[in-house]
Amino acid sequence: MGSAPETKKLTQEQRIAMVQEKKRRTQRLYLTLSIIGILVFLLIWEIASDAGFVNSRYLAAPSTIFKLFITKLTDPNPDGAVLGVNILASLQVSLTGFFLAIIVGIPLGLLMGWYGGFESFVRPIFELVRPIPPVSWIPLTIVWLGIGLPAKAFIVFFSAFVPCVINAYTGIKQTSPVLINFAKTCGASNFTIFWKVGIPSSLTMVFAGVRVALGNAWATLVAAEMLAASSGLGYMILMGRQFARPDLILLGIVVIGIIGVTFTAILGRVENRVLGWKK
Amino acid sequence: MKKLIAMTLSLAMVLSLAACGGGTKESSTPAPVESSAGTDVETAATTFGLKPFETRQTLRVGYFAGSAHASPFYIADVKGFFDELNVDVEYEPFTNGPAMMEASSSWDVATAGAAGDLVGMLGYDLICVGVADYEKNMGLFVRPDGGLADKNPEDWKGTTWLYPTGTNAQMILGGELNELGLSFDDIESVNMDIASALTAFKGGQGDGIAVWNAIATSAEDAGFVRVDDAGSLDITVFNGFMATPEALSDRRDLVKMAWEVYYLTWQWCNESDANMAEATALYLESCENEGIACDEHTAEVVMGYYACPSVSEVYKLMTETSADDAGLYTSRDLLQAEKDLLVTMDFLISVGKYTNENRNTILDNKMMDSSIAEECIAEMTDMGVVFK
Repeated sequence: MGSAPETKKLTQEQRIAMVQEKKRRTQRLYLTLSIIGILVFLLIWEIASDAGFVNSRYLAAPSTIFKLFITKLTDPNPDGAVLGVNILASLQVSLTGFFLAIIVGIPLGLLMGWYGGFESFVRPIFELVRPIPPVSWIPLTIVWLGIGLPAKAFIVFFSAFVPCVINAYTGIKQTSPVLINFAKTCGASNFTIFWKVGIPSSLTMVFAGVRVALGNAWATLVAAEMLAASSGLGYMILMGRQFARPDLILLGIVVIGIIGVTFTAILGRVENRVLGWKK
Repeated sequence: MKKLIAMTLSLAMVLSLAACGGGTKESSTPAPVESSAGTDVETAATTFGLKPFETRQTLRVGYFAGSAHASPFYIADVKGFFDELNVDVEYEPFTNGPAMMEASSSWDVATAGAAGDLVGMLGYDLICVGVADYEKNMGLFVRPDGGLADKNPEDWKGTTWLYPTGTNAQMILGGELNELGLSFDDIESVNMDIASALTAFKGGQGDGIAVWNAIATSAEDAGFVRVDDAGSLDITVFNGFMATPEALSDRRDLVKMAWEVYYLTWQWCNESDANMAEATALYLESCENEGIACDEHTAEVVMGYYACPSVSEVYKLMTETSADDAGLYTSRDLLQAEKDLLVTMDFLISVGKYTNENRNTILDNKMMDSSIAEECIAEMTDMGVVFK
């Protein structure tokens, strides 16, 4: 009888390194699959366009959009602004509205969720305002705020504000009663429990709300720039419509998509950093 | 007893025919006149002397809400001119040309401004078969106390103008700036639809607006000063009568009928003051149906400006040819209507919105088609239709 092969004993560090390497490999595999998925999608799209399965006047090919992307870096025609100016104008509108929504919406939701009296006072108004589509504010916004940045940011604010409030409200409502009672037993005041227990425990939901708000902010961009604009990605899309240029429309859509994905990734990193203690 | 049964059956038949005849319209369209379906089509006398279709047809109209050039369709519908020809009218209302062109699969014929026509031709292969209007009521408005009414070029520099870019409104503003020795670089342009532009202007935004039709009249009524307009600047603002390629190939007779009724209705409007007053009231009614702000005075002004050509005039515009004024297109002489459309096209090329390649596409593909005008005139002459 031969003896069983001797198994190598791994140290704790080696085990951790092995697991981390495996995790990294899986992440790389998923990233590669994602990239392949996008490339396959673009390839099918390009072939369908080149083969004439789809009319290029209704759906421009990816190669055409890429060429236009290069052209728009320096050429302001036909919408009147180069791509960089359009991106900056849109960033200004969407981020102003988005950050305003965070600054106003999250504290409002937290206070509504923690203080019953405040909730009774504010919630009926919030529930009335909540279902109103942001675009329907456009006529009044023009009268109240004019046609500049505040007006456009207000439209974006409205779309981003609602998820901030709802998630902050739900998050703080879900604070564990055990933690609250423990804090009370330790003699903490209501505000201290709100500050040190309620808010930290609501953060996961709050970040989920911020993610939704970010998506909404970008989604409302075209509507906000419908109000009045001389540059911006939404404006560029509208001009694409004005001159029957599907390539211009698709370029605007793609750029909005890429910026949205970039911001979501940045937000994910911020969330990991802020909520690292929870994971 | 037999008489009673016969009367009851007759009544039931009449009611069922009436129900069949009036059920295809959109909610915003007028109440149809009593259907004539079932009448002897060969012998039926029609207002214009046109021959009715043997079977009931449905004409889908892309309706430019609030525009005078769309009103002949509505007037003909309410007056029963279509109904007596065995045609039902279905409306697809729009408030801007590009959106109308995008949705061209939902209509057979439509009227729209040159900017919309160009989008339709270049983006959706739509064909222009007639001239709907030469819009004079497209104006520039400033505040009475803003100092711009004096048209001092120095005062105009750095001012903010609200208007829909890429439209005839921009062309009119361009014409004014040109007169003042300025360019678009000297002012700030903000893209807004005309209704929003007027709202914002009333709210103190911007230094001037470029708007048309009922909104232009409303701006004047609000106390703003009309600095200039298409008429005073002598700029041709073309509006086309458009048809879809599908309608032209599959429902050509219906398109021709629509063309004939459209121009003959305008002829009817001009026959007497009473007819014009009725047409103006119907224009106001159509605005109310479509939610366009308008009152009696505005309706009168808008219809007063409406410059739809007569049947003979549109025939000339669609058939007489001469060389391209710009000298750019030499393959053939151009129709007068083509040259009028190119006024807007050439302006939009000059501000970088289109290219000469786009211009050639329209001309090479003969997207201004004179055949409908020719066939309609031949038909009307054969039928002995009186037209001017």
